[in-house]
Amino acid sequence: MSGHAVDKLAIASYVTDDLPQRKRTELETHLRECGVCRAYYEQLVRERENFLDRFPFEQSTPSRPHNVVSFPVPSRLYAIAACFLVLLTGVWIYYASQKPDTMRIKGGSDIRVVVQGIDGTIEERSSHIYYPGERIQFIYSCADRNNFMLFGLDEKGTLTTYLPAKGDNSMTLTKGADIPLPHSILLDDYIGNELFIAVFSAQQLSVSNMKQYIMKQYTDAGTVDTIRFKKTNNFIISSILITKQIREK
Amino acid sequence: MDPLRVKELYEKYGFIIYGRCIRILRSEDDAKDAMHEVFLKLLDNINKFPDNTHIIPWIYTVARNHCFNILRGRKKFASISDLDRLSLKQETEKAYGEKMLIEQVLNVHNKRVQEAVYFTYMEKLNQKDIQKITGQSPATIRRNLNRFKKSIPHLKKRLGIA
Repeated sequence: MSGHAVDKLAIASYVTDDLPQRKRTELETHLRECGVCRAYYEQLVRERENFLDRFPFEQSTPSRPHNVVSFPVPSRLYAIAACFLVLLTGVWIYYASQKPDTMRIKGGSDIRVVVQGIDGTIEERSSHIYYPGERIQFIYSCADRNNFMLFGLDEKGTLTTYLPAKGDNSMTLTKGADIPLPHSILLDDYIGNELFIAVFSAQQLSVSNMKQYIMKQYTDAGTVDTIRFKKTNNFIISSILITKQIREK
Repeated sequence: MDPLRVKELYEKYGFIIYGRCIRILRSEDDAKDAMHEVFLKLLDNINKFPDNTHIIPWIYTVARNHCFNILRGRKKFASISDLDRLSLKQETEKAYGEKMLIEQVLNVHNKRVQEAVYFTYMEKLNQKDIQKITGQSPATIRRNLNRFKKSIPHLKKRLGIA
């Protein structure tokens, strides 16, 4: 080992007993000679002991991430959602019967929004008026596993991908009714219209292709509140337009 | 997988994963959640490492990517709220500086530059180790670090530092 450049990967591998024998002997010799590397080695050993004391295996079962916020949904909403689902299913059956066999989107898909106000109250808002600082949680219902993307488009034409959180492929939603999406969204100080665009599809779609499609629709329409997404054989778009205003005191 | 094998892997690698996550996320709760996620990925991929020699570089990469995605997600879903900023300021100056550095690097640079900056300045790895993890040659690492250095005046401006 040359000089005093701490080979952290090798030391970590040594601590986890993954270093090949030849390198192991070499590192042990180096650790006896180099105080800097020895200090790092001792630090890792301490970290392992502290870790196992604090998070023993029995308590380490995977848990729901704490940053995922779910709001309780009033039972009345379930009834409304059920009626809506029945209606949507009827509409879907009608449209499915009109469409060619290439239509593969399974079941009715719907997205709604629940709002947590600044004072902590939770409601499903009937008006399109929202305020900065409020947190919105999207709730979806779909009758079968579907692929999904969620975008936000503001009046300036800024398109934000909210879901999937990473990668270029749409995420998968499990079937069910009134299931919260993995993240809530804190509304920032931007004042104006914003269109939330939920894309349901049977096949996995590319986020970048969908963004191009949305931007083309936006360019054609000119404004976010006049965009009309046409039905296609590959995906269904459900959009929600909100208007953010400054709260009057 | 055999529960004993899972326990063995957890006790062997858990602290490495947690160490990487807490260093980036600066939150014990977030780091614990992230550690679980990365550990599950390790369980899914453990058969790809017959001799275990590449597990540590793999953990460094996956933990870093996972935590950076969490930070990106925070930015997208709730760009740091006043409350977060308040708690950030209560952290040590160094931790605060590191977190701001990551945020700014995430905002401005591509993934390759992010990797070079993160592993050089946050993990303080040498270029040989960074090459093992990222696949970037030392020359590329140096070039990416130079790109970052050139952007510092712009970052300072954004951070409001004279």
